[in-house]
Amino acid sequence: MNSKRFFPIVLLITAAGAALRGWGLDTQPLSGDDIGSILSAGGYMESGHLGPTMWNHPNLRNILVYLSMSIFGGVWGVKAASFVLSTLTISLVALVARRIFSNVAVAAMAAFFLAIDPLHIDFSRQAVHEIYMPFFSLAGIYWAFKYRDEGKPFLLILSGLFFGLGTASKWDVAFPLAVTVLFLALELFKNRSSESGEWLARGIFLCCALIMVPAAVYLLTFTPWFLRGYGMAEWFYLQKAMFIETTTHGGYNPYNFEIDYRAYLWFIKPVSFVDIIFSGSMPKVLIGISNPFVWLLTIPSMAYLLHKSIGEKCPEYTFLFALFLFTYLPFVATGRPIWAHTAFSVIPFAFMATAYALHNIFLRLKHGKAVLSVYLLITVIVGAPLYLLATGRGGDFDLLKPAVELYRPLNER
Amino acid sequence: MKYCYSYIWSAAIILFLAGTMALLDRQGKASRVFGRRGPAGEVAVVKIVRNSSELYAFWKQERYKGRVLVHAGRYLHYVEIEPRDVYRADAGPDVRRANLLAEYEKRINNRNFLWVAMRGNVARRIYNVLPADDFRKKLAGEGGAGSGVAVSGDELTADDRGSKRILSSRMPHIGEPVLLNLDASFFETTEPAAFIQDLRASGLRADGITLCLAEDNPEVTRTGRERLAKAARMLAGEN
Repeated sequence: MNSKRFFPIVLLITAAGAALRGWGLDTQPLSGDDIGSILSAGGYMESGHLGPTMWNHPNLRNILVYLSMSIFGGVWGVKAASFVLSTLTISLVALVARRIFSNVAVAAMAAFFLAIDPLHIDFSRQAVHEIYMPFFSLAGIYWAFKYRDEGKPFLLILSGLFFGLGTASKWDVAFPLAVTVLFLALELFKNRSSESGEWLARGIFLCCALIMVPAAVYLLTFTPWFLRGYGMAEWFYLQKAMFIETTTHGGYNPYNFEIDYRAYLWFIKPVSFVDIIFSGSMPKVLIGISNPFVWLLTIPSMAYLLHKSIGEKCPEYTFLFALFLFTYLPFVATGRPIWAHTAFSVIPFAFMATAYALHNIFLRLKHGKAVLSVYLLITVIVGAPLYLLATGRGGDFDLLKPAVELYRPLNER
Repeated sequence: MKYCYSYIWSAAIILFLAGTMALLDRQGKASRVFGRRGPAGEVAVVKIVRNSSELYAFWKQERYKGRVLVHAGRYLHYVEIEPRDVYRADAGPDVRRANLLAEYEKRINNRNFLWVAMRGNVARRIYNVLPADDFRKKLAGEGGAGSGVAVSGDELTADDRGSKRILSSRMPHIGEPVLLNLDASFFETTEPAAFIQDLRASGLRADGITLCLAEDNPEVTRTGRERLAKAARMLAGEN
């Protein structure tokens, strides 16, 4: 792919992703979580209270949902933050992938995988904050790469700002943040000059920009809570209480245990998350199922990336592998249930590696481009019914009704 | 000395973080609203109320906010009102206009008024001081692994979304003036003189003292209310 065509193609993919996320959004009834997000946003911004929805997570969602409701109102106001951030994530995947692989075709393919991902589309249409994390992680990584190339301090501060907003959405952004700090610190150490003062100064700045800036941003998002009369000592107690709840949380709905709730399953079988919305005469069922033709290639692609990383001694490849591994492993290791939407924190890295592996392997074949085109077509064909299921239209098509029935709660069968 | 700029940036970031922490701490503490008659708690407002609705109305009337609330009584009054009981699940975006607190306040009763006080930002931390026998029973039934209740010394500590709730049989030592509420139930088994002695010995400073006759609590007897009235007189120095 010609690099001049990179931006128009990424723009096109992003626009297609936006259309898939926005189509019929205003007619999709609000779920229990959407309603809870509205109430939580109002309660937090107007009186500093946490909850009722997911009080144990940090509060950026409350701030963004409240602001977007104040600006837009209506259904779009409730979901605008998710819609906008999820759409921008598509472009960010392309931009970060291009930095890592220096290959515009790989970057565009990775963005394409995210643009058509049914599970990501499902949560782009909800008020809950699940799609915030990949956006802020990738934005932080992107600006960290820019700093690495250009050395301007404000670029790293910008990176810290985005990582701070990410951790203020959910703590798991701390994993890619830690990997980014380590990556830059190791490079700094490896490339240290004879003037020892310089690498020390830059090392201290690195820690300040990527640890203290995110910490300050994170803290500031608790302002409405502080205004209830709390001080710093009580804030640390709150963090401990949030940590205990987060590490022991067992879900709010018994039905959630009838769907996939273990992180190790994400890349070995198609996984799903289901929302049942009671509105009007018939319940609306949103079934987000991972596209198996993309997700199930993750583990072999990561193995390929690791192989290439060692063979070519490419630090960017190692960085991507580490981002995936150290963001994914904590979810696999945890004992509490982890639902499929948490995978959004790792799928951008998985999709980048998959795009790279496919691109490299197919282009070695005699008719590689044609084979790759057929593969991409298959992902779209498989994605089409999954898209209908993710947007709650599965019940409208006779062919898809059996699939919807599969997710009927056990007590209703 | 190009890298000196790195030190300057680092210092600026450290100052920014320290400033953020100091500012939030100060603003948080400055948001607390103490009694109108004495912010340092030298002169307490003393008020006798008949029931939990009157009690809560008094707290709101005095505009107390962000306070440590010490409640002496046999009951915890912390039964949660489910948000789903006060809004329609199919309300749509208009649910934004729902005023949860107003709905909670409409449903206030002797089972939940401390919970509503936390929701209404009257209290940010609650100490339940129980008669010794009642506390021993609580202690025996709580604090197991995974219960979310920590046992330390003669206190049980739970939290409500990160806001501390502490149960004890003795008056706490707190470095700021508190709102003190004496519930008639406390005096079912405790003599006023003994309680007042404990209160004075604790050094607790209160800028607002309420005495609740708990007329909306059928478990409270006439004895408890009479002793509460006696405690009120003793607090006012009439004994």
